[in-house]
Amino acid sequence: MNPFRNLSVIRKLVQLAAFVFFVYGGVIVGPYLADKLSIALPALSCAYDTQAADLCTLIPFQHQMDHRLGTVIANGGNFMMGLMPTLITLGTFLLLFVILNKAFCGWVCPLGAFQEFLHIVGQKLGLRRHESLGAETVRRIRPLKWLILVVLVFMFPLMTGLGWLNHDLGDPFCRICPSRILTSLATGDTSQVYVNTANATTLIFSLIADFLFGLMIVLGLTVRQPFCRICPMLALHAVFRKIGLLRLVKNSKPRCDKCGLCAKVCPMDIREIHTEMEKRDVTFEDCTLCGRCVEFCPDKDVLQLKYLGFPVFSASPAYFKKRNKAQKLWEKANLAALRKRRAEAGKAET
Amino acid sequence: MAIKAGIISSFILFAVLYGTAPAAGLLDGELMFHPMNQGGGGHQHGQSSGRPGGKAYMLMNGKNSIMRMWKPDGEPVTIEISGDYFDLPKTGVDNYHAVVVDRKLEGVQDSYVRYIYRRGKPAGHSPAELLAISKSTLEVVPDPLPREHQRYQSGETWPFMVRFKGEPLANVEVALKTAHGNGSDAVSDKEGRVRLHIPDDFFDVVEWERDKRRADFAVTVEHQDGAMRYRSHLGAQYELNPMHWRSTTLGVLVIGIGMLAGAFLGRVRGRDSREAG
Repeated sequence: MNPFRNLSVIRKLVQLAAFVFFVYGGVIVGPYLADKLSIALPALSCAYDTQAADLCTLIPFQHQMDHRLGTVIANGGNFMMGLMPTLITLGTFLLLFVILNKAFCGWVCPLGAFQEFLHIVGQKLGLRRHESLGAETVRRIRPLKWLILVVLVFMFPLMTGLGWLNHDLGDPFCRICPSRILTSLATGDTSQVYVNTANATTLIFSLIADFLFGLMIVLGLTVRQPFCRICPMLALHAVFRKIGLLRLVKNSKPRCDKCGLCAKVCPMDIREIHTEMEKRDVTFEDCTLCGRCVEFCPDKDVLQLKYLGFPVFSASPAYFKKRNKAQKLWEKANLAALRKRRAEAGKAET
Repeated sequence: MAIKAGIISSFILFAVLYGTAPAAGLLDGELMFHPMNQGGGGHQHGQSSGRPGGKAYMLMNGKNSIMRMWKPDGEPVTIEISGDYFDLPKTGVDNYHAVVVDRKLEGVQDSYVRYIYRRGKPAGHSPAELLAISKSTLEVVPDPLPREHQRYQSGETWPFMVRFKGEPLANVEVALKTAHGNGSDAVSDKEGRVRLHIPDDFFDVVEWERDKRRADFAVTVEHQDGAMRYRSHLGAQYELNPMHWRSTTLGVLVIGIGMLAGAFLGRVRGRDSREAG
């Protein structure tokens, strides 16, 4: 299969370019590029990375809850004036979000790309991978992203602004976010790898952050997108997914019942793509619009990525055949298989 | 070195103001400009009071000097100096501003520059534009200006650029001095760039305990051009390096524990899936 007609290859190239741009973009266009862009990127790109080309919107949300809304409420000021910066950030976020919808996760996010590349490393090392998590595990994990969004991105910072919590809880999500450690390390800055003994709050949060980062790296070798499953950005996207212009659309057929390939290849283990037979819009809350389900759907036009209602990528039997063959070749090329082949060749010689 | 003696004494005054160093005398005539509270030093959240404008500043030896403030869009505003203490006027925009005091004495032209941050709405202009503007005949420019979560911290080395009449000035000695009397110096390269180390020089630091003390430092350069001697200072604040209460070694260790936990989880899941299927 021509790699440039393979959606997964195209997506990886876009992810790589986005990673370089959002992590090192300042090197090319100066360190203040972020001031010219949105500072409300619908993907995890960290302000602690000083060469970053834009900033994740979760940063201003937390600061505005703490320094603006919370402070205004606590001091009896004008509520709308306190809320206005948050609304501006939300508006900027939505302007960008509408363009790509949840594809920001699957195509743009530096942390998402890093986890995908980790998984490739795991595959090439021949590690035993878990292609999908169990339905019960997925069901248990799903609410975590909502909990993190509500509690760490909005509630704790707001309570800090109100003066109910200490200032170290003003940006609690950033304190545990693996992107903070990843993107700063990627620029050669080790200052974000630490255990902070300033007080109990900083100690706990820094321990969680480091542990989570280590956990994500090793799990990422064998499990697809481990952190994405609990990422609050995924939850924030889910809230507004109905206004995005890019959608995953399903035209169910009776054969769908027996297939289920779409759910099997989904990196987020969304089994509902397979089981949903009524709804046409199947951009579920965990969907990152990566398009893998469309690639591996063997029936014509059953699954489609549509932009403004127009199909931009549709399932087709011809594409499926080529893609499936390419995937098998890709899977075979790994260190464990190479060793096995060498061992077999050695045995044959003796 | 005359310039070193001058800035050491200047910073002893800062130290007195901030309560971070013992009192000492001040050399006569040294030009200085600095905020009266620690929140106005030119950084973002967590450091300023959040009120745009209206902060009190102090100007020392500013007689016969001209004070101008550059807005983020590069438009200069002349500030009338009515005394040693004053508020900088509101400019209608937030974000980074540059305040420059110029003073001409017989045969000597002094300038003092501070970049201040006014929290609020984005200005629509990158601070790079503000830095690119020639604001004084001789000037030291942060290259880059610490932004977002960055701050000047003790023990760090930061790049600066020296410009004379808007052009990079090579082979000139540039000195950094802190309020605690320590410093470093270096010679600018052919592009006018210089990297200066900020000493880790706060007193009585207790390891593992957070300490939010800040103090001023200044980067000073002098240049003779014909009969005129130019002298310029860039003033800014630095804070105690948080590595006094943060451990990278422990951080790496905890990441390692997380990786072990990930490997354990992976093995358990692998065993479960083998048993299941």
